[in-house]
Amino acid sequence: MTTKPELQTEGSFVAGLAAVALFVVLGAVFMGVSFPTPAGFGEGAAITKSLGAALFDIAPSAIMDEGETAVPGEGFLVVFEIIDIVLVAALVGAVMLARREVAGQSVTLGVETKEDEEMAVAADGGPGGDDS
Amino acid sequence: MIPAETYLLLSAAVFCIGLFGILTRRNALIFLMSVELMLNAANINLVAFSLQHGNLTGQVFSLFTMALAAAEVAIGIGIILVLYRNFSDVDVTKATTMRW
Repeated sequence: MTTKPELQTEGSFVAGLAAVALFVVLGAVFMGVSFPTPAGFGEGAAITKSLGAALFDIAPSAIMDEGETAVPGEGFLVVFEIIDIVLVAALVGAVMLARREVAGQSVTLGVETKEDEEMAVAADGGPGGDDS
Repeated sequence: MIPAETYLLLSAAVFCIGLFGILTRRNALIFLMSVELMLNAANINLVAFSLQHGNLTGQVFSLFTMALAAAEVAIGIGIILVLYRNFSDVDVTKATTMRW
């Protein structure tokens, strides 16, 4: 008898009904309101350049070419630096969590320990080594 | 121009898909992906209202949210790695030793 592939599910979807109900409520609310026409950025707006100017807190007019208009925004240099520190902290935290210690020695993925070197390895890369 | 309500509806859909994933799944990796969906739903709203008001602040905020999401994923995957090492599984219901 042949079998067909089945979707692997974990537990029940009953709890997920809350998410569906939330979507129905949000959808009903959003369809009931009306916003004014979007202001938009206008023709010839240099959005990417203006974003760069906002991130580094420099005057947008300094980097605009002819025919390009700057989009209004604020300076975010301090936030940019804080995010930089947060990202480095997260990177260090991830490495600390992922570090594995064998017999008091830090072991990282892809680095062989003394035990690995002594272990016989078959030609196909698996354990063994008896090629006879 | 597409009205803001449409973006709000799209954002609500993405958010609810993320919430659905969190409520129904037990795999920690799928949890992480679902949280990312919910964060990106917020990003859609920020960019939509940036266009609505003709101001770039919303787009800059969404960039910062993405950077925070990257930091969150780095820590999250580290935690999942430790979870797998200690419980030989990434099922979030198996890790009960820190439960009250």
